[in-house]
Amino acid sequence: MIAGRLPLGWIQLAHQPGRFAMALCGVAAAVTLVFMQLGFMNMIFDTTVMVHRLLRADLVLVSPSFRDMMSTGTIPRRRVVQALGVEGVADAEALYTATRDWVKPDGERGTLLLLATRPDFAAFTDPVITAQQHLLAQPGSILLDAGARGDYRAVLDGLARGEDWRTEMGGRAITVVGRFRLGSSFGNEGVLIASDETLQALALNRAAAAPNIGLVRLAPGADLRATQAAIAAMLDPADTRVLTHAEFVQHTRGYMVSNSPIAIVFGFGLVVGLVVGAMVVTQILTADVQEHMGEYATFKAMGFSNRRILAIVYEQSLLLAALGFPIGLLCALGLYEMIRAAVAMPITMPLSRVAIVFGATFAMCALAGTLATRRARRVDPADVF
Amino acid sequence: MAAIIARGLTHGYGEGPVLRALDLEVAAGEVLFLMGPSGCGKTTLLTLIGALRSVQQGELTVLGHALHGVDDAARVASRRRTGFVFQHHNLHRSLTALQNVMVGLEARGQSRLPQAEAMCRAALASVGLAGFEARRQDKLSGGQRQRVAIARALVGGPQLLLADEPTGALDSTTGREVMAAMRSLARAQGTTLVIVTHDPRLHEAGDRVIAMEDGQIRSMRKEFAL
Ligand SMILES: Nc1ncnc2c1ncn2[C@@H]1O[C@H](COP(=O)(O)OP(=O)(O)OP(=O)(O)O)[C@@H](O)[C@H]1O
Ligand SMILES: [Mg+2]
Repeated sequence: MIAGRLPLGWIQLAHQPGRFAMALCGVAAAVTLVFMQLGFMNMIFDTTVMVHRLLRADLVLVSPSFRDMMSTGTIPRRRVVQALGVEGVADAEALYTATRDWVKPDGERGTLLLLATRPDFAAFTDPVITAQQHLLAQPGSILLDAGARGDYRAVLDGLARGEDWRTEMGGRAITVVGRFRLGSSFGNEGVLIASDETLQALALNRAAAAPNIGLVRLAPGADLRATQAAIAAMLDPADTRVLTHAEFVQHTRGYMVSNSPIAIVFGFGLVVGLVVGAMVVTQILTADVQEHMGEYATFKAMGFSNRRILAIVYEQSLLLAALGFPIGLLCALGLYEMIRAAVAMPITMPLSRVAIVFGATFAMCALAGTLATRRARRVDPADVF
Repeated sequence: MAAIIARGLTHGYGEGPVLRALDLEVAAGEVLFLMGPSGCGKTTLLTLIGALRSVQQGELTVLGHALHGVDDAARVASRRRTGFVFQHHNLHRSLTALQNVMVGLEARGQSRLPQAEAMCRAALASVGLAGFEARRQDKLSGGQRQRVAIARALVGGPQLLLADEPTGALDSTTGREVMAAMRSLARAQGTTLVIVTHDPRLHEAGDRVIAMEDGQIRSMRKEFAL
């Protein structure tokens, strides 16, 4: 089928398989790099709110100095009790957090985040945890994050057989009596869940009157914003703030985005990836234009418009984007899978990211095409002689 | 009607004019040969008639359209009415013979016609290349390449064909064949032909031979006995 308009860009690329492959590699490498940067960046941001999402609450009471789960500050416990008295509130309870070293099965020490609350308060979104919380009533009992970094296979196998695992934390004996799955983050290796009583035994400096977070749940039909306002009106803003769960998540995520160099570092890597990709494609397309100057001059002498000549170059750049992108996407998916397996961190590929990088790839190739057409614009039809 | 009318055409590249107030008239359907010493301005004249350069001074009308004082779009339009055959075939090395001819048809804006492919095949057949449609240039002889170039220049029926030493790179037998192919195809379409060639043996195919010297027309010989 050759009627209409010959796909000259495609024909020229296909006739130089080596150059074509190199250009595709350039695009695919840039796409992979961009996906890795975005993946890592969002992985870090997501891990900072992973525990937030584990907490089952409509409203959250936090200290004004709250940043993230590793740096929460404390609130007066009576604020939780006060919130309970507000109309529309069904339930409220204090949550205590602490970071503690423990001795891992291999004898090494690891730092885990300990979450503690009353065992009969369903503070967690994961039903696996809720179903085992009654086991925590026994002091010194702990639930282990099966996604924690480290080799806990023997412990987990033992739990499956109904065998508890005893180890040491903060100089005290503790017993792992159950498991759930969350995953590690950059700040800590994983999460442990205990009762408030157990936490106070392990962290002697912690007063029961100064929890880290208050979890508030609304009665069915209660208005979220109205209840939030009612609690806020009653609290002292100097020691406690009340956030919706979404605000609570966004607070930490936003804090990390604007106050850590993470976004800048990864944004920089992303731009470098796109620039290098654009440079490679520009080089290759320019070389192709250079090699076809004679043909292009002939085409112009025959009556091709300048636009038609430039369209050949753009056709090539868009082809490279359309074919290079899926290769880069596949590479990135493979690497994501490897990272998930290696570090037990939640690196995901949301569709929105695929769409954005797809757009960026076309923009990158269009830019390269535009740069490469600079040479093609100067084709003089009188050069045919 | 005249296909080409040049009046006082003067053109240069910086150091003095190459064409000096040249006057020329070519009738529609005429086969005109242009000869003259190297550097006398033959190619320059062809690039002006073919609208590959803009007219600097004087008047030039090709196929009823003035080319002096016009913009780039008018020159592009004029190129589409004109076919070119160059000394070297200038075929696209990645395209097959048929695709090369199709590019010529696309340049003329006729590649979307339902009969486009048939037109290209017919053009190739008329230069004796039926069966060579799928060949790329590296699988064609010099004479075959030049014949593909002629099919490309004449497909879609341009009213004017300009050829600059089209047989210059060929041996004399092949040159004669190529010239015959060009002539018969042009004759069939009523195309005006302007051919630059140094080979006097080819001139017998023309209606008129013009000698150029120093940027001007020096002499004309008419009515060759066949
Ligand atoms: N693009 C150009 N820039 C500068 N000078 C040019 C250019 N093209 C041609 N000339 C000069 O103009 C003069 C006429 O050149 P032209 O190509 O028209 O001659 P010609 O008759 O076709 O010669 P030949 O038989 O060798 O092809 C020559 O002196 C040449 O050097
Ligand atoms: Mg010349």
